[in-house]
Amino acid sequence: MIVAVKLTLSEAAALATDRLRAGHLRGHMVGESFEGWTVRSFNGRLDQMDSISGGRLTVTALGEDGRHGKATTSDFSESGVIEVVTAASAAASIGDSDPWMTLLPTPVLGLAETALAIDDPEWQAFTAEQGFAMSAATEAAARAADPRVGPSGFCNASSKRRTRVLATTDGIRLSWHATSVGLQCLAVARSDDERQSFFEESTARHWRRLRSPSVVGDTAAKSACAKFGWRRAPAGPAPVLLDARTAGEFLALLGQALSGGAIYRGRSWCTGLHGTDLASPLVTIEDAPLMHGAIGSRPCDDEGARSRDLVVVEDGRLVSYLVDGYAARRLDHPYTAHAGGPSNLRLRAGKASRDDLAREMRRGLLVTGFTGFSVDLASGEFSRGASGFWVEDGKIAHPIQEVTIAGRLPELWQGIRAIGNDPDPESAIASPSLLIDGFIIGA
Amino acid sequence: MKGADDMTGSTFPALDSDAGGQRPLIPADLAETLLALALERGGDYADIYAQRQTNRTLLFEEGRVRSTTHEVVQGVGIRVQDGAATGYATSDDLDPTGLRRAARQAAAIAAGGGGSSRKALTTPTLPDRHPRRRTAAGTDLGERVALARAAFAHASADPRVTWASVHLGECDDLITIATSDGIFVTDRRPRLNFFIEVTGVAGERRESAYATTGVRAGLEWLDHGKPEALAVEALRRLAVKFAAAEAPVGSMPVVLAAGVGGGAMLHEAVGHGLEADFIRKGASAYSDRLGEQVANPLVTVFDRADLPTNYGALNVDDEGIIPHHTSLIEQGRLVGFLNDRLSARLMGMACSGNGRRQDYRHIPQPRMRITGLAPGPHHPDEIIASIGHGLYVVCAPSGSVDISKGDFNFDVEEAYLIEHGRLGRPVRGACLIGNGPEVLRRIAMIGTDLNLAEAFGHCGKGGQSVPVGEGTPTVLIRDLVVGGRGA
Repeated sequence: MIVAVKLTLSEAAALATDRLRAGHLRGHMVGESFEGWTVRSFNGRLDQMDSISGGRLTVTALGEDGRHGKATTSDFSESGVIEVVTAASAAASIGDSDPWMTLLPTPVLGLAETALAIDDPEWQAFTAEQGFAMSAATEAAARAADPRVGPSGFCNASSKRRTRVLATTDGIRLSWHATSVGLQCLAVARSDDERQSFFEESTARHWRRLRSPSVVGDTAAKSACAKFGWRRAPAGPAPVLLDARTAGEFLALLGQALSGGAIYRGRSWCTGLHGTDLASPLVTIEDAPLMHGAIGSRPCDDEGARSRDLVVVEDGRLVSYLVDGYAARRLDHPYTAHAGGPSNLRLRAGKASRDDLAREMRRGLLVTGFTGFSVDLASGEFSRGASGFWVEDGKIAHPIQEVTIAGRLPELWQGIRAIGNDPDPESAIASPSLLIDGFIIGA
Repeated sequence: MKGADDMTGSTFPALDSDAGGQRPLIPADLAETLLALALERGGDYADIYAQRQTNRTLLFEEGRVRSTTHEVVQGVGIRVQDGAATGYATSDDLDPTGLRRAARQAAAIAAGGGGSSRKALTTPTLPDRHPRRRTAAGTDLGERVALARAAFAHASADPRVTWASVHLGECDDLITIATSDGIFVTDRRPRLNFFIEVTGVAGERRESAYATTGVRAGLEWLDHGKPEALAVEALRRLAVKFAAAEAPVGSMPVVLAAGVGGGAMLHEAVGHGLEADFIRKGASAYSDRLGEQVANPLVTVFDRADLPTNYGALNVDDEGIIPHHTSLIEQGRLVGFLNDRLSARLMGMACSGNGRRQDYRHIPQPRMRITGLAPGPHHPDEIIASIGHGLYVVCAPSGSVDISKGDFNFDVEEAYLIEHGRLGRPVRGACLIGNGPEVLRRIAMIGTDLNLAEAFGHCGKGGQSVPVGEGTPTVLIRDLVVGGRGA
C-alpha cells in the first residue's frame, strides 16, 4: 500500500504559511491535535472504551481587498496540507472583497504570560484503567446512596490532551497544550411506576482535582430520588430562584447575545445597548481567561489574540461586547480576544447562600433543571421547560416537574433581585444562584 | 519536514474528485488484515469504518460572499465487541502502522481468548436512495453564489429586513465498511442544506425568522426558483412574527400541523425513548413495555430509511446493514425498538439497521432515520373544527427529551390560536412540554395528510449529530402545557 507521510503540527504550519506566501497571499493556519480516552462502566463491568486521537488544521487565505477563503482538513499528509492551502487560496482569488477582513495586528497576537496551569504534567499517569475504576466506583456510590437507584449504563470517565498551533504569514508562531478530564454519572432511580434521573459531572484540567467518585455518584443519586413525589407548580407570575447550574445556563445565553457576530447583524436583543443599563445594578460579569487551572482558561483565542481579563457588565451597565477580530473592526470596538466565544464567563458572587435567597423569596419556584432551548436571541423571548422545588414560607415544600417558565430577557436581567454565593468552580460559564422577578410559570 | 521526494500520495481519492465513484476507501485485503488483528484477542464481532467526507459552505450577506469553507474529514474507526463490551480506536493516519495500532487498541477490550470466527468479505448490492445529478465538485463557485444571491436579493428587497444571511452547505460523504461477519460495502451519501435567515426591526420589536431545506441530493434540488421560494417563506414567517401576540400559558388542546408541525414532537416524545441502548440498560421510560398498549389504537409509528432524497434516508447503515422498515407502534401497541448490532445481539432481536454515527471518530449508536406517524382517518379541517380553545402549531423545529422519565419539550416557531373551531391570530415565543408516554395516550385525532418529503432535522445524542427525517400528519393532542406569557 502506498502511504503518505504524516506531518507534525509545526511542520504543517510551516508548510501552509510558506505556500500562502509563495502564492502572494497573507493568512494564517490554526492546527489542533488531540489524544485521549473515554471509558464507560455498566453494572461494574467495562462497557466501552474509546481511544481518541486525531487532529485538524484550518487555513485562512487572504487576498486583495479582504477577499478570503477558509479550508479545513484532518489529513496531515503533505498532499493534504497542500490541498487545503490550494482550496483556501482558490476561494480567496475569486471571492468578494470585504474591507473588514484583515489579519489581526501583530501587537494583539500572542500568548498571555500568566501561568495558566491548564496542561497537567501528570496527564499520562491517569490511565484508562484508573478511569474505569473511577467510573465503576461512581456507579457503585450512586447505587449505594439509595436502593431505588439502578444501573443506568451512563457512567463515564474521560481524559484528553490537545495541542494547538497557530501560525501567520507575518511570522507569528504560537503553540500551547491543554488537558481536560471528566467524570460523569447519570443516576436513574425507579419507583413503582416512575423513573427519575439526574446527571452529575466533575470536570477539571488536572485529574487529581476531579471530585471523588463517591461525591459524584452520591450527588447524582440523591438528586434523582429527590424528584419523587413531584407536583406541578401553580400557574401564573411568581418569583423564580435559579440554582447555580441553571443560572449558569441563563448566563451562557447572555454570552451568546453579546457575541460580536450577533451584534453587528442586529440579531441580538443586546444590539445597541453598549453603555446602557442592561441588568440590575447588582450584576457584574467578567470574562476571566487567565484563571489558574480553570476549565475555560486559555492563553489566546481561536485567532491567536492574547487573552486578557475583561469586564463585560459592571454594576448592571454593559461595558463590552465579546468580539472576534472581524466583529471588532465592524463595530469599531476594542479587541477582546473572543474568537471561539467566552472563556471563563463569571457573574460575580454575592454573600447570601441559596437558602438565604429562598427565605427572601418566601414563595416561588426554585429551578434546578431546564429542558429545551426555546430562547429567541433576537427578540429576547425566553420560554423553557423547568423542574425543581416549590418554596413556601422560605422553605422547600415539594418537588416540581412538567412546568414552563417564560419571560423577556431584557426584563429578567433587570429583575435580578438577589445574588447567591455559590457559583460552580468547575464550570467555564458560572453564576451563583439568582433570585429573579418577571417570570410566568406555565403548568 | 519530509521533502517532496518522500511524498508518495494518499490512498484516498484526491480532493474534489467524484471519479472515485464507489471505489472502496481501503482495499479488501487490508480490511481483512485489520479485522484479523482486531479479533486477535477474541471477541464476538469487529468492524472497520473508513471515511472521507468533504464539506463546503458558502455564507452570503450584504450582497457579497461573506465566507466560504472547505473541509475534509478523513480517517478510520476500528471496533471490537466482546460480550456487552466495546473497544474502539481511530486513526486519521492512513499508513498501515497507524491502522494496526488502532486495531490493537480496539482489541484490548477482549478477554484474550483468541480464535474468533470471521467470514470472508463479500459485497452486497445497495439500493440507490440518493440520486444526485449535480455535485459540488462538478460545479464552480459562481453557480453556488448565484443560488445564494437569488435568495438574498429577494429577501433584502423587503423594506423591513435589516439583515439577511443565506447559507449553502454541501456534504459529500464516502464510506467503506468491512465487518467480521463478511460485509464489505462502500457507499456515497450526499447532503445539501440551504438556509436563509432574515432579521427586521419595527419600533421596539426585533424579530428573526428563517426558512430552510435539507435533503440527500445535489444542487439540482435548488433548481426552479427554490432559493427564492425559501426567501418568500422566511419573509412570510417574519411578517407573522411581527403580527403575533404573546403565546398563551397553560394546559390546552394542541393541534400539530402536517409537515414541520409534529415531527419534533414525535422524535422527542416517542423516537428517542425507543432506542434500544436506553431500553436494554433499563434507562428509558419505555423499558419493559414491549407488547403493551401504549397509545390510542389510531397511533401507528414507524422508522424507515427508503424515501429517496430524504435527509434521513440510508442505502446502508453505519454498521453495514441494509436498513429495514421498522415498526415501533402498531395500532397503539408497542411492537419494536430501534436497534444497532450490539443491542440486537444482547436483546435477542433482529437488527433493524438503525446503527448510525456522526463520523469515523464516533462509535455507532441506535438512532432514528425517517420517523413518521402513519396517517389517520380525520380531515385536517375537521380536527381544527373540533377545538373550542387551543393552539395550532405550524412549525416546531426542535426539542429535547429526558429519556428516563420521558419528559420532552419542543420549541414553537409559528403558531396560531384556535377559537371556536377556527384559526385565530398568530402567537409567538413559547415552548411546549409534556411526558412522552402520557402524550401518546392523549393523541385523539390523526389527519390523512402525512407528507415526509421535506421535514428534516439534525438529531443530537451522546455528542453525535446525524441527519434525520421526521414528520406527522395533522394530529390533535388533548392537553399539552404551552409555555407562553399571554392570557
